[in-house]
Amino acid sequence: MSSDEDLRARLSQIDPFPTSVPVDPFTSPKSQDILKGVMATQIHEKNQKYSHGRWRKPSLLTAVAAAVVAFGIVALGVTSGGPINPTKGKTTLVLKLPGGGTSLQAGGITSTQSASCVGFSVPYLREVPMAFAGTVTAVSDRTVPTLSDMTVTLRVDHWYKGGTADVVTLTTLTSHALTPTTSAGVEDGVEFVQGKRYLVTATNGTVNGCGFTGEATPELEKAFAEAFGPATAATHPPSLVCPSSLAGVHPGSRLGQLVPSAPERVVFCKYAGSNEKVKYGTLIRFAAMLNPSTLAALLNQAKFVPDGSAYSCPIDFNALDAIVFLKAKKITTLVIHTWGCGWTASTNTSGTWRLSKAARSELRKLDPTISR
Amino acid sequence: VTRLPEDRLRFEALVTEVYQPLQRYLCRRIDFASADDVLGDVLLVMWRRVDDIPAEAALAWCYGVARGCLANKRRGADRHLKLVRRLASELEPTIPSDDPLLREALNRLPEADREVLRLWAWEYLPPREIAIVLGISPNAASIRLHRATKKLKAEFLRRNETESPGHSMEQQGKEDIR
Repeated sequence: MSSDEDLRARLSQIDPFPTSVPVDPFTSPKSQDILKGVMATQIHEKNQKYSHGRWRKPSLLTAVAAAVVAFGIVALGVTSGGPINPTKGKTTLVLKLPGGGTSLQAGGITSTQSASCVGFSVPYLREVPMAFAGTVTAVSDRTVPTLSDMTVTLRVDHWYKGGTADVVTLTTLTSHALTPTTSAGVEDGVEFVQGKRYLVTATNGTVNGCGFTGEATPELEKAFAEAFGPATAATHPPSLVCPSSLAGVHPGSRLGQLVPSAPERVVFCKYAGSNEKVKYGTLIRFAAMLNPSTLAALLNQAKFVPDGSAYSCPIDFNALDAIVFLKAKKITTLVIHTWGCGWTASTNTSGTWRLSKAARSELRKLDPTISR
Repeated sequence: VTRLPEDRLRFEALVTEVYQPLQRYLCRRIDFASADDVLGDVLLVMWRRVDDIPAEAALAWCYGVARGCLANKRRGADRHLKLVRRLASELEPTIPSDDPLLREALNRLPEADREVLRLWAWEYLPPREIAIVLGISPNAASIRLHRATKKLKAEFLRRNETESPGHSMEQQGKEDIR
């Protein structure tokens, strides 16, 4: 299994439904029944609110309205890129969303007129003069995709670089109808959805596309942390909150202590597994009034499970708990699988651990689904 | 609102393209009976949103919808924990595997990694289309795929090495759960 292609070929050998296995053609009576039923369904135009995927192709842009502003929109108006206007004690910065024909400028690399993208990489990211993280508090409400004066307002929670404003407004000032640019140019459209958190970079007052701005996924956060230093290096101590999602937390393989001993604060977070009524991975509840030292001591009784001895989990609903510790302005997130492999825990550096019986029984007070 | 004739034509054209691949996608991930149900759900979404389906990536778009419908289906099914426990063996399609080591290695990866690998090797999608299915950026898809293949290779090699001394560790692990 030397190359990826070998691996792909070998994986395809264990495909339970290869193309050699026949499936129902759409012409079969059964299929036709299903299709008839579907096509008899009345459409309510208002139903088209499902948001599938954040990354849209140009042909989709026409359907993007209301709560969505996409990159790759012709923006003729020019907004001031720098000045900070004090409003109600808060500082606001206005940035322009890029125009379709204008170039992406990232790391001093200016792309061609067809708005082709410079490949995303940490070194380029590092060169960007302005970068911040913020949550969308408002999106201008337009139901028709003519996109005049589309604005997105973000409440900044962290400046990586190049600014101090509390609030940033992104705007497209255009009196022109939506004009799709070349397909390559808008491939990386970003939808700004109210309530979601984004990592944004800008050069010369214009927001960068091409992957240099996007929803705050673990991947993007990691890249930003690599480029600008960890977000925890903020001037004020980090707030101890449950992460909104635990996606992307991978066990590593370093031996050591599972969690820092005698931490200052702790918060326990429970996320929905696939057997819950709410969306998988949603934060269900959290508990903050815990004794950090006691909990840390119990967790540190855990034994490391060496590589190569992974346990198999017969039934695993992928329910996760997270215990977030704060010590000396550093945050450690411990993830615990509650079902099947109910006794394993991991931080992003610590690999798989087996929690002690005492720790498990203590944790069961917080989450009864933690296995015995 | 009733669909315009051109929408009907477009929907029918799409169905001819994606009907069989969709069935495969579903049968790879859930039992036959449920696959049929979910297929109906996916077709309904396609019908409702025929205008939204990108011509250049229709199949990937539909896989993305199927992924969501599948998750809904599973959530519904999984509410009855006991039932699921009993049916657990039936819910996951069994693979007539002549490569048990690779399958085991695959099974030990987190679900997110497995899904990326399945989309890549079984649905045979390039990262660009994997991105559409998962609703992430093409960049993130490439990174995830890269990591998943790396993990799978590591897991596979590890399995090969531990194979000869016997399964002691794994056996212990299984007993611990029970």
